[in-house]
Amino acid sequence: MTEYLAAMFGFSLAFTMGIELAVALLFGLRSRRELCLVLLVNALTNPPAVLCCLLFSFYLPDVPAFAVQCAAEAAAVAAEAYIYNGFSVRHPALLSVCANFAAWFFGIVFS
Amino acid sequence: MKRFFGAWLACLCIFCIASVVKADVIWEPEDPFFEKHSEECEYISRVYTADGPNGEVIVYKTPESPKVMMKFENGEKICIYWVYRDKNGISWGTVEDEKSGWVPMDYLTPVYDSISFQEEYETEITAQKGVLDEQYKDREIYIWEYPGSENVWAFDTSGETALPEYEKVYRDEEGRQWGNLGYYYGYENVWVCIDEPLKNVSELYPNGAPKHENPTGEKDFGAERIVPVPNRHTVIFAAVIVCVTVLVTVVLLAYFRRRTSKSK
Repeated sequence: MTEYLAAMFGFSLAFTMGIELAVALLFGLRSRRELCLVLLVNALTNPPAVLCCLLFSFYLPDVPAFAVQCAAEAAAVAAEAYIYNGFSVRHPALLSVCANFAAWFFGIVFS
Repeated sequence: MKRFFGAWLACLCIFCIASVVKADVIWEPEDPFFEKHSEECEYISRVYTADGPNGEVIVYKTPESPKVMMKFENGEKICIYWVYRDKNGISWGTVEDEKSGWVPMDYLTPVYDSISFQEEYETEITAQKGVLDEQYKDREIYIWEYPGSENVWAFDTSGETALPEYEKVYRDEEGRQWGNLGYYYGYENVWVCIDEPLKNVSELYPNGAPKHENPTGEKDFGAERIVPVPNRHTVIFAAVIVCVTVLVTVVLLAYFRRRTSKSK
C-alpha cells in the first residue's frame, strides 16, 4: 500500500506539474526562475489536495468526490495565485485558474 | 529553452501513457490492492447471488477504502474470482463488471454448483480414484456440473482424447456411481456418471432431475452493514509524505524569494 500511495502522490504531482508548466509557457513565462516557481507552487498545493480527496474518500465517502475535488482545486487556485502575485508574476490569478483548470481537465480526459 | 521544452514534452508523453488518471490530483492504478495482496488471495471462480441488507450489495474500491464503485440489487448474479480475508476475518471478493471492486462475501450466496453439492453430500462422497471404462472410448459422454444438474455437456472422447479420471465417487439414490473430475479439457470440478456416462438429463432422470438450490433472503445481517475500514498506517503515511513535501517546498520558496529579492 505504501508503494501505491507513493506512486499515486508522485504521479499526480508529476502530471499536474507537466500540464501547468505547459500553461505557464503559453502565458509567456520563460525564465528559469519563473518555471521553477511553477514547479514549487505545485509541489506546495498538489499533495495536500490529493490528501484531502483521499481522506474524504476514506472517512466521509458519502460526500460526493466531485464536490471535494472542486473545493480542493479552489483552495489550490487561491494559494497559487497568492504566491504568483508575491513573486510579481504577470496575471497571477488568471494563470492560476487556467493552469489548474487545464490540469483538472486533462486529468479527467486520461482517467 | 528549446531543449527544456523538448524534454518536458517527452516527459509529458510518457506520463500520458498512464492507465488511470483522475482529475487534477488523483492517479489511480488498476487495483493495486490485489497486486499487493495477491499472495493472500484465494482463487475460487464461483457465481453468487447478491443477498445483502436493505436489498442491495455494495461494491467498494478496496477492502480498506469505503469509496462506492457500484451496487447490485439482491437477486443479481455476480461472478467472484478471488477472495481476500482481512485482519478482522472478513472475506472480500473481487468483482469485475462495469467497474471493478470488492464486495463482502457475507452478502453473497453461492449459486448451487459442484462445490455446494459436495458440501451437501459430503458424508456420501468417498475418496476413490479411477478412470472411465475403456468401452466408452470414441463415444460421446456427458459431463455434469454435479449429479442431477441441468448443466450438462456432451463430450466426444474419440481420437487422442483421454478418458476422464476421477478422484471421488458419489452413489446416488438410484445406486448409480458418479466420479468427480478435478479438471477435464477445460471443465473444472465436474462429474461423470461412471455407470451410465452416455445418458443425458432426460435419460437418467425421466421424471425430472432433483432440485438443488442455496436459498437467499434468510440471512441475519446484524445491526450494521459491513464496510471497509481504512488502514490507519496508510493514512498516517500519506499525511507524513504530504507534510514533509509541504515543509520542504515552503523552505525552498522562502529561499527562492530571498534570492529573488537580493538579485533585485
